Order: sequence, then C-alpha cells, then structure tokens
Amino acid sequence: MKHKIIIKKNSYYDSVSLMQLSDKAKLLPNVLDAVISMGTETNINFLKDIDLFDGHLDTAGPNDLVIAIRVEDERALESSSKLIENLLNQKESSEQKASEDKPVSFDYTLRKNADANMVLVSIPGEYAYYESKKGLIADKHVMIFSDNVSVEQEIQLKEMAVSKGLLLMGPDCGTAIINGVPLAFANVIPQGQIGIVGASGTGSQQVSSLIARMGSGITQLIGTGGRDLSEAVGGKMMLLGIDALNEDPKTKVIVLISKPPAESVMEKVLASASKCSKPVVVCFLGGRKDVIEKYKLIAADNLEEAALKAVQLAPGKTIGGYSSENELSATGGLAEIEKAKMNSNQKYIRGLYAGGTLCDESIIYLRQIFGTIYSNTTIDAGTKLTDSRISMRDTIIDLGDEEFT
Amino acid sequence: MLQKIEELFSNKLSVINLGIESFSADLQSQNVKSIHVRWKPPASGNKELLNLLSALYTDGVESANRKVLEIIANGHPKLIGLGIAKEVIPNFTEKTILHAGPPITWENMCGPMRGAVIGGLIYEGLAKDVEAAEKIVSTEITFSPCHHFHTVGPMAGIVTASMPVWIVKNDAYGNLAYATMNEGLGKVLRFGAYGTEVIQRLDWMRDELYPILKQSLDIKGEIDLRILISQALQMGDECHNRNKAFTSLFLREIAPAIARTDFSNEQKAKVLEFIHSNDHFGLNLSMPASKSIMEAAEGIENSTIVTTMARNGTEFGIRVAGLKGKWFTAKSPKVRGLYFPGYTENDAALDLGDSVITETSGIGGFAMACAPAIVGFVGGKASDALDYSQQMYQITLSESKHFQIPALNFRGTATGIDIRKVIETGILPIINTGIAHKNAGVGQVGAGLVNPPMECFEKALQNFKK
Repeated sequence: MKHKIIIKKNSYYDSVSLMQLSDKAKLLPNVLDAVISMGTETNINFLKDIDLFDGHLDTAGPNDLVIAIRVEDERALESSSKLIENLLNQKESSEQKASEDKPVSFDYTLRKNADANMVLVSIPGEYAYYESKKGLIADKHVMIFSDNVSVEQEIQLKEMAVSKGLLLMGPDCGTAIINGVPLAFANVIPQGQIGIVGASGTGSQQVSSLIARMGSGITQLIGTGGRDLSEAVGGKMMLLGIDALNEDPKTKVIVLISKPPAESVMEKVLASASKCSKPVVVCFLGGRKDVIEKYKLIAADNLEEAALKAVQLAPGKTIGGYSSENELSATGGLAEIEKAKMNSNQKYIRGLYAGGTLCDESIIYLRQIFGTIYSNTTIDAGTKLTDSRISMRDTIIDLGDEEFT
Repeated sequence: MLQKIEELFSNKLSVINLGIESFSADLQSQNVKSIHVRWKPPASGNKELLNLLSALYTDGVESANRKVLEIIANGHPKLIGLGIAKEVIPNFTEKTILHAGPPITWENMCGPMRGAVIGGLIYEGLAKDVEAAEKIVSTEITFSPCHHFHTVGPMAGIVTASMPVWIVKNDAYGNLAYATMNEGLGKVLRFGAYGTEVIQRLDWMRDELYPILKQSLDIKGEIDLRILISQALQMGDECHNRNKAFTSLFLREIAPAIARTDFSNEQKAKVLEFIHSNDHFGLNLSMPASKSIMEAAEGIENSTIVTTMARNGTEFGIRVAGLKGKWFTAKSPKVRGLYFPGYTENDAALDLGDSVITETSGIGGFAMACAPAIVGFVGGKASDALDYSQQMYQITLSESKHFQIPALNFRGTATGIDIRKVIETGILPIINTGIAHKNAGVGQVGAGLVNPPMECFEKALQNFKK
C-alpha cells in the first residue's frame, strides 16, 4: 500500500463541497482511501489518526487544500492523484465563471447591500462569532446555524443584539421561518396566525409542520439556539422573541418551545410571557406544568399537544383532517410489523434520533413506562451515558448532538 | 426598541449568506434575495490576529472611521504658491534634510538615498564633494522624514533648505502640504545622482524656473488640484506612474500666466519646454495634493484607516489615523516589474519613495483601471488593470466622490484603506511605482507593481491593543 499527500497553498473550499469531492475520490478505481480537506488542525489530526500522513503535512494551514490518498501500488498513485485533480478543477472552472457576482468579502457585501436585513451564518463555529458580530454592528439580524460557538461568545452576541433590538438566532439554530421564508433547514409552512419562539430546532420543526397539517399556519418562527434558556444565557433571545411576537399584529397566538430550561430562567420567561396580550402556549419538555399554569399560561405536555392547542386558539380556525387517533393507529401498524421481526433475546430499547428535542420527548414518555432510560442528552444527569458509543440497558441516543457533528 | 424587528417583519427578507451555499440557492429558488459570499477564514485563520481584529469591531471604531472618510471626502487640495523650503516649511533649518519614507539613519540608507543626500549637500554648498559630504552627514545634519514636515518626496525624496517647494492647501481644513518640483527622468537627484549636470539643473530650477512659476502663480491665482486630478483620471492617468494628462492640464492652466510674467521670452520658453518634456512634472503636484487630504485625517482616535504609506528604500512604513505619530515598518519589498533595456532585477533598489501617498488617498494603483496606456507594467492586459483597481474595494471603506473610473461606469476609486480589511482578506494595497537603480546616480531602471509588507499592518493592529 502506498499513500501520497498533496498540499495546495491558499486554495480555500468550503467543507461541504470537499466532503462531496472526497466521496467521489473514494470511488475512483484503485483508491483505497481518500481525504480532501482544508489543512485545519482538526483535519490534520484526523489524517494522522487514519495514518494518512507525512512530514510535510505540518506545513499546511487552514487556507491550504490537502489531498491525501491511499492506493494499492505506486502505479495507481500517479493516475489516481491526476483523476482527483481533475475533479477539483471541474469545480474550480465552474466557480471561476461565476466569480464576478460572487463577492469574496463579507464586509464588502454588507456595504454594497444596504437593503439586506438578515445574515445567515453557517461557517465553522470558530469564526461564527467574529462574522456575526460584524453583522450586528451593521444593524442586520443574524441567524447562526453554526455550532461550536462558546457560551461566552453567545452571551456577548446576544447582549449586543438585545441592546440594538436585533434578532440573534442561534448559535446552533437549524430552523427559522421569517416572513414565511424558511431559513436553513426549515419546511415551507403556510402563513397564518401562530408565532413560534423555539429554543429547539427539531421541536420547532415538528410543531410548525403539525400546525400546517392541521390546516393552520404561522407568522414567524424565531429560533433562539438550544442554550438560550440556560442559566448562563438567561433566555435573552426568547424574551426578545416574546416581545416581538406580542407586538406583531399578524400574530394571534404565541407558542414557546424548549427542552427543559434552567429553573430561574423558566420563571423569568414565563413572567414575561404572562404579560402578553395574546394567548401563549408553552411546551417546555419535562418542565413542571404547575409553574406554567401559575403564570396563567397554557401548558402543553408534548409537541403535538402544543400544535393542537395553538391551532384551537387561533381565531376562526378549526382543526382540519388531523386526529391523534388516526396518527396513532398508522404508527401502531408500523410498530406491529417491526415487532414481528424481533426475537425473544432482544429485550432493551434502542433509539437513534437525529434531533435532541424529539429524543428528549421520547425519553420523557418512555421512562413513565419503563423507568430509567440512558442517553447522551442531558435531560437527567443521573441517566447520562459515560460513553455515548456504549449502550446501557434501555438506551436512546441523539445523533444530532455536538459530539457527533 | 423593537423597531428593527418590526421592520424585518414588514419588509421583504433579504439575506447575506456565509457558509453553506445551498442555503442561498434554496432562498433564491423561493424568489428571496440572497447573496452568497465566497467566504474564507479571515486572517488565514490566525487566531491571535482574529482576536485582535474582533476587538476592533465596535461602534466606536466604526464611527471614528466614518469621520475619517468624511475628512477624506471633504479634502480639497489647491495649489496656492511656491516658496523656499526653509522659509515656508515650519521648523525647517539650514541643516535639515528631509528624506522619503519612515525615519532612517545615514548608516542604513540605501544607495540612491545616500547619493541624493550627497547631492543635496553639494547643492546647498555645505560640502564640495562626496568626501566632504560624508564627513558632515552624521555630525551636522538633522535627517527627518518628509512626512514629519507636511512634505512628500518621490523616490529618495531629498529636500534641502534652499530648494523651492510647491505649497498646497487643503481648502476644507486649512492644512498645508509641500513638495519639491519634479526634475525629470534620467540622471536626477531623486534617483541618487549628484553629478555636475544634476546640480546645474537644480540651480536653474531655483534661479529661473522657481521665480517664473512663482510669479505666474501670483498672476494666475490658486489652481484647484482636485479638479485637475479628476480630469486627468478620465484622460488616461492614474496620477502616480502616469502623469501625462495631469502635466498637460497643468500646463494649460499656467501657460497664459507664464506668458504674462516679466521674464525674457527665451526664459519663459525654457520653462514651458521643461514642463512639456517631463511627463512626471505633475507627480510632484498630485503627491502633495494627496498628502494634504490624508494629513487632515491624522489623529482621529480609534480609526483604523491608513493615513500614510511611504518607503525609504530600506523600510516600508505605514501610519494609521487612530495611532498618531507612530510608524509601523518592515523591510522594503522588491518591485515586480519591467526593466528598461540593459537592466535586470539585480540592478533594482528596494521599494522607495513617498509617492505611494497617491495610493493612500485612492489614486495611483487604486485607479489603475483609468490608465490603460501603462498596463504593460502590470501584466499587459487592460483587464489586469481593472482587476487590480476592483480588488481594492475589498480593503477600503468608501468610494471617492471626486476621483472616478470611466471603465467602471464612473465608479469612485477605492478610498480609505482599513488595516482590519487588509489583514482579514489578505489583500494588500496595490502600488504602481518606478524602480530606482540600487547604486546612487544611475536613475530609473524600470517600473512595476509592489505591495506593502503585511507585517506593517499586523504591527499596527497589535498596537491598537495597547
């Protein structure tokens, strides 16, 4: 076996297109393994881990392109690296054609587009703070899709946003719908009368989709990022979102969605929601219903119930063809089919989720029936797996967690 | 308080996308305006620089920079007269010698600058020859950068006490700037030549050219240099490496007044011929014009805009509006260029001269797209010139109201170099420049392009921390 490292200085590609390229390269004849990536520290360590490494890899920096391939023999080395370069060049030439209308500097784009009102940030987390701050200074609302942004940076950005009256959605905000337009990973939802502030991307997606299926629609879906209701961040964006939706004349009902918030923050958010002139449905998974009701707000146990209650409260709307019973029997049928495939030795639950809130919702539900459920989410410190890769008895894993992304 | 969110909810969404390109495509397919930025890690991913940069993105810095841009935009250079250096430049003594670039000692001066100093001493009568000159340089002479005396000088930039200087006034702020008169090409003082013909020409410039032009200006009255530069840019000059149009325009302004002076016809004709024969005569007017614009912006606290770039042939130095009086220097780079027949890169001095004040104020290389006639120096194609000038918009904060580029639909030139943008994008200011021979007295050997060292900008950035 042979391997080869090629470094192209100062050729930046975004990681998504490089991942696609790596996939294509792996399919080339005689190639055993191929990695095409930027020379970041993380990527270089990764290459060391899989033993695709030689000395001059240390000269690569984050703006340098690294091509690493492993092949059967010397002959394949030459032909394969040529083929990979061709793959790259295809990309390059098509990009070059479009280069005129593709600005290279964020600041310049900000300056030339005064009418822009939203900056959508999905660059590596270590740079997200830096660029987002520039967006806020230029008086733009910002949505940060990126994760791996520190709590300190999140707090600074949100303080700045609140002081300027700007939305700072995120970090790690996968979903938002503004003026009917889905941003990042969101669904096209009809416009309606329900406004959502969600600290949970999957939860917000689920509720907004259900609202659509129930024949209703939404005004705005403001994402806050999953840490907004933590003690440290203090619910800054949810508080601003509540105020904004309360002022918005098109919004008639407000829905708040979160994983279990920090106690003190929950009280603060609920107190603020209770001052709204509109009905507020609160779905804090695993949160205490009595606290919500103490503030004269409408509590929902799960995401489906949140959607149902919101639609019922929206003026002039009745639930369309949707019924929980129908949903249940359809899913029940699927469950029966799967159950038939299992053997008697299989006795524990295994759940793989691509979304923290859906994972939490299941755990909350299942532990009422089966007791302890182990997981990598932090819904209950006592049942957290020490190693997410090793299951314990009944285990449900969220694959969307930062450790996997 | 919620006004900006209300505005968002009641207007069309318009997005700037950084990162995953498909997000932008998704928006466009829904007829939502979205601009995808071809983002790459700022400052090449250097964490230390990023932290420093990040601390400089504040409302305070933004407003300081807006103020500087306003000062630059208001800048209105006018030629108001001529005078003798020691009589008109404040604090200029008999033994003062000004030079180009950041501060430097005699020991560290490059060949052409040493030659020009020797020539200056002979011209002043302070020394008879090279030997005598070298004896007094370190004991009797006070060297100082031109920039410390509101002055700019091309190449070696040597200014001595009895040299005549143009006086340019920034009409908006009242500050004055000075520069000597351009001697022409070939064996001249600014390239370090100090032979008899050089000294004789300087004598003639003081004894005939100066009094005739001074009287002409008295007759003519002040000349608006901002308008001359604007017009020259539309006639194929970029006002650093090409000054043919500027020089011609100036001659049109001054010629009738020259004719009306009380000198002999032969004397007047010689003056007209001298100006006509030197395409760079206008450079020594575009330079103090640029200087007067930029000096007005010095000392605006917190501003990250560059107010000076200058080279002494040993070091390249920059100064920044918010860091008054401080030079940030690094080794002077080599110029990438074309050489006149008989010369090669091995003959070249390192980058030299104050003429880069033109780029600092948004002309020169920043207006390269105006000057297709000299694209030979920058790669040969007119599109190269366009590319260079367009790239500068990525590192500047505004576009000139007065200086426009016809080929870019009269877009204003890129103005107001921001050290943050330079470091972030890795794009360095582009400078058109002449190349001096490394030995004193040979003269110009070529012309081409050069960039300041990134180190200058990094040092300035680090200084903001303090």
